[in-house]
Amino acid sequence: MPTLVLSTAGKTLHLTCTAQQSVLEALTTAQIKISSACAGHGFCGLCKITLKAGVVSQLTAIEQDKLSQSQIAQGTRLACQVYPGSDLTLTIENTLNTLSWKRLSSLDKILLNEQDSYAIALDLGTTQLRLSLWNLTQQRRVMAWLIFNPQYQFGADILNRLTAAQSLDNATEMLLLIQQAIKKIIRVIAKLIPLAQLKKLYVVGNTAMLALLAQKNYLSLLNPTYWSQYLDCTITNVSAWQTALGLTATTDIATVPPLAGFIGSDLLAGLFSTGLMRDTRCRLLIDFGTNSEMALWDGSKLWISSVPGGPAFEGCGISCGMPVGEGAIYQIAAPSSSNWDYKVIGHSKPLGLCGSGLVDVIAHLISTRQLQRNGRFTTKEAKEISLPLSATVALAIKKQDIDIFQQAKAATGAAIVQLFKQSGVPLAAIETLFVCGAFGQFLTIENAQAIGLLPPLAAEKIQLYQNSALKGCELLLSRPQSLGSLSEIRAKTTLLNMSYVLNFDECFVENLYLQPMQF
Amino acid sequence: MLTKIITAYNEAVFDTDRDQALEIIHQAVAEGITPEDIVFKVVIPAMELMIKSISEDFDANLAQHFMASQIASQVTDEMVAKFQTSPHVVGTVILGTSHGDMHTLGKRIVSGCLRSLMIEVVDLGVNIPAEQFVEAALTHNASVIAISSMMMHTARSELGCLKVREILKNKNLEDKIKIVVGGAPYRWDPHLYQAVQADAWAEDGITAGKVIKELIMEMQK
Ligand code: B12
Ligand code: FES
Repeated sequence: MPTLVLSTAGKTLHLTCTAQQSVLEALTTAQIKISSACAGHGFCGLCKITLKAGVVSQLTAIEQDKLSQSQIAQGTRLACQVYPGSDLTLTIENTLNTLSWKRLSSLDKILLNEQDSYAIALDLGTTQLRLSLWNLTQQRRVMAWLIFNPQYQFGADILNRLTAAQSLDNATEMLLLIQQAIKKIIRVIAKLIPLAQLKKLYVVGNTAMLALLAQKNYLSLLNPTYWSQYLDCTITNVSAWQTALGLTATTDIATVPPLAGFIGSDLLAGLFSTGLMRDTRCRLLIDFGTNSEMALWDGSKLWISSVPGGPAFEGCGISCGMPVGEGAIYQIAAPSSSNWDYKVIGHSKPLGLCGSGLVDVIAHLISTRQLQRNGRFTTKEAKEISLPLSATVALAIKKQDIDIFQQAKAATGAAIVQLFKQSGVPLAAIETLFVCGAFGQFLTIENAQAIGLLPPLAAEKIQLYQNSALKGCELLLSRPQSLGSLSEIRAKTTLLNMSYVLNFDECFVENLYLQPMQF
Repeated sequence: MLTKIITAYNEAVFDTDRDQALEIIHQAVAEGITPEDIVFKVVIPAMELMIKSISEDFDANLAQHFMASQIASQVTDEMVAKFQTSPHVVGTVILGTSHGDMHTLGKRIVSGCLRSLMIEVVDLGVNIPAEQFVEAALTHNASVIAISSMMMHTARSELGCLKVREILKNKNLEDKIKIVVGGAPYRWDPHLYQAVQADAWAEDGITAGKVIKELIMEMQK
């Protein structure tokens, strides 16, 4: 059997692989952390490895599509497409180093004592989990953490996860993955406060995530008839949960119910924390993610929609793309000299572009006329454009990357335009636009506006708002009576399903163009 | 003069400039070019040129695809209405989005491409049950059922393509009616069309035109 020699995180590992196993399968069997978001089908392009020595199967058409010429020249391959023909020496490009909890906000020691009551807020996102320890007595945050959603291996978007969950084994595994992740952080929390003082654990999230967590009704979400209805996602076996998480019987565990269909309680929490509906002034909230949600408050009614923002915003399917995390280039600008000015998350060397970095690159290519507004390279024969970041590091953008991005942008852009059309709110009436989501936090607003991802509002009206769902969940922990106003909010809400909006497809095509949004 | 029109029209289509393309065509009609010549000598060759350029360099730019097919079908519809004698159609195709799927765009492009190749298209719409596909094929005497699915679960669903296959099998229609599929999931997994028991698939609308035309020709032999 071929042996894989792997150098990762400064260590060298030896593992075996059968000839029928792809390198990805061998790595995951050995529980090596490697990015992958399409269960090895070859469309996320995240499972990149670099081959140092050995004989392997030939480059597949999928790899030619997903990798740039420079990546191919360097020996980069997709682990799910490679079968070993001999012993191999390799390195992993995108390790999932985010599978452990990272600090999101620092510890506030003053809030720690034996008498106060505490609670946990959890924002269960498709891509990331955000969790905080909340001091209920003083109504302040003690500390918050962040982790990659370990269910990612079952697919980047919710539908892939729901499809995987058609097998009960997978569904159970997905639940266990989340419980294990929470349990890890509870061990940390146990060192900060007596667990008997932990009174509540509330979870907000999109409907699919909550249904998978509650292990009920999730398969109905594969049927569009349920997408505009309320779906029960309550956790019924609370004591089993308490045991699984290592909590005492004093902790109440509950999911905050979703608004309806694909509109989850994460959006609801965001409405609370941003104060979107607090008076009669018009406000807009856009939460970018694998599924992008948007809510427009017209002063008396709330207009909501949800569109497939596309894992493209999270680097999925983009040759040089990666999710927001260690090594991701999140901002990039071309200064006058030949080198680029770029910012990388963490201390690692640049590994790829996350969504906001891609927005900057596309806006730059448009403004320097290397790319046309219809998404074609100005040099018609070019298949990719290489960006020299420095003397040693270069990135390449392929035509296909632009195409995938354009579609995700068009779905979001068209939905925003339609929200304004259907509600009759003029753009000028908007007092504040809150841009939420991990992708939103690093956006360069002018660039996002130049290519039509954000509406053309004055910069001072736009607020990049972080952790909106987590903050909202904390508010709900302190003021559970707000949950009573849920039905009130529901009564004021109009859900716009873009599948039924007349002329949405024309609007989508218009928004494919990389230009400011047209109203 | 026709060569000049062809070059100008091709350029407009390539640049996804619909207004320009339509103006060129209207100008040509005003100058006395017959609607037949416009369809057979300008629009269809332009479509075939696109097929060629796409198959040589497999880059798919959606805005361009969409515009090209929309322009082509718009021009074809307009011209066919003006034909002296009714045109010879290559064959009839039943087109729709599979059960549970509401995505319309891919289907529209495919429809535009097919119509510009003189293939008659009966568009059933979105969220179509398997039975309806087969019934429509029988009513319209169509030789191809084309099913668009944009999501993995609607492509794989037992109520989708698999069900159409089952009905065709039970009714002994497999020699008369072929199934062609397409949409995002088939691009992710090029073997998926076999798993859902379709006869063929195509990556984009323009290739779909080619694949379906070939399939119809083969069946007519
Ligand atoms: C636009 C869009 C929408 C629009 C659709 C508008 C409309 N009227 O069609 C809206 C916003 C309404 C929408 C809704 C949803 N969508 Co959507 N959507 C997209 C998006 C961004 C583009 C799809 C598209 O139309 N592309 C343009 C067309 C022209 O390209 P194409 O589909 O590839 O078609 C070409 C070829 O495939 C081929 N072809 C297509 N059909 C056929 C048929 C035949 C016979 C042949 C031969 C060839 C062929 O030719 C076409 C032209 O070249 C994709 C992402 C993507 N990159 O595909 C997601 C995507 C398809 N959607 C997705 C999801 C999840 C949804 C929702 C569930 C989201 C939600 N929260 O509500 C709903 C489902 C609605 C439903 N029941 O169908 C997912 C599916 C994921 C999966 N694992 O299966 C995708 C892939 C995005 C993602 N990665 O998350 N969506
Ligand atoms: S896991 Fe290899 S491309 Fe997605």
